[in-house]
Amino acid sequence: MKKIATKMLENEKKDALDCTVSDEVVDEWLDTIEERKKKMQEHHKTDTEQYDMLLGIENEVKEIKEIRKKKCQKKQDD
Amino acid sequence: MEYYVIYFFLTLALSTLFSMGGVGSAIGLVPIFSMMGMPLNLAKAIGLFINSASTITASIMNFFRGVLDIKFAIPLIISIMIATPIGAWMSQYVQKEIIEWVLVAFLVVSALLLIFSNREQKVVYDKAWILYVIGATVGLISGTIGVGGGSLIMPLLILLGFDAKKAAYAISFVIPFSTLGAFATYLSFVDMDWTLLGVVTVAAIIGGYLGDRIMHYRLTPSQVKKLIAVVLLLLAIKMIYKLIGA
Repeated sequence: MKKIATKMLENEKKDALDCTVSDEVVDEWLDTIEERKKKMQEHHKTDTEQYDMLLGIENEVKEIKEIRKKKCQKKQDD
Repeated sequence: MEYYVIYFFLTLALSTLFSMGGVGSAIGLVPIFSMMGMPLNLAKAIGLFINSASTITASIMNFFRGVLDIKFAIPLIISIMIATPIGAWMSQYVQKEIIEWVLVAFLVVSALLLIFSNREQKVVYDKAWILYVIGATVGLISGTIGVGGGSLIMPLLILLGFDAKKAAYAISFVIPFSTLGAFATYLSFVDMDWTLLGVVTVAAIIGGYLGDRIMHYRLTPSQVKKLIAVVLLLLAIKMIYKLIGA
């Protein structure tokens, strides 16, 4: 599942890396993942495949956020 | 051939639009198909399948993005699956028009609240029993009057304080459970045009994909709320039009 999620996110990165997409969208995406992670921790579901998948997605989205920060900041400066 | 092309693009356009709000497009497509000369029961059966196809597509994407909370949706799924057939059974005893007028009032009030309320969205009422009550109520109403559940659950969840996008993600996942069973029932007495069903299903999958991407990447929760409000108002207008027999 983690592999499929990562593969799908790879395809979708183009959308997320577009600077016309609001930062709010990516922040909200991370918040949702964080919320779900917390819930799974509370219910002791941290050793499940789904939790691993969430961690993988979280890393991908954080990476997207970092790239956006550099790319979109650079565009603004130009 | 031209006939299929028209149905393809109509389904694609409406499925994209409705998927942006997290609900199925049958509510818009069924009357349009019917007006184009398709038998009403066939239009309803195809509409139910279109709803399932576009929302399943959106749900798969949401699942792999990590934003779909399946556990949250389970109480809604269970209660809707139980209550919808009961609602369908009740429809022979309850005066349908009264329920439809109540529904119109509910849709208009919900839409106005969505447009004018600036309340900070916080998940407050997220206890499982509330979701069971919502699912059961919506199931009873949609079973009785034969409308899709998504456009009813959406305002209820938002008014209870759920974030509009999260509610849309969850509802996309709930819809196929309520519509696929009904589709199977229609199949038992409808003469299905399988080629047409195939064509509109492809359009619904593409529409579900496009609409979901637009919602996820281009719209903020407040924009999703406004979009849903517009859809609800259109739905209310359609029902009033039908009720006054215009």
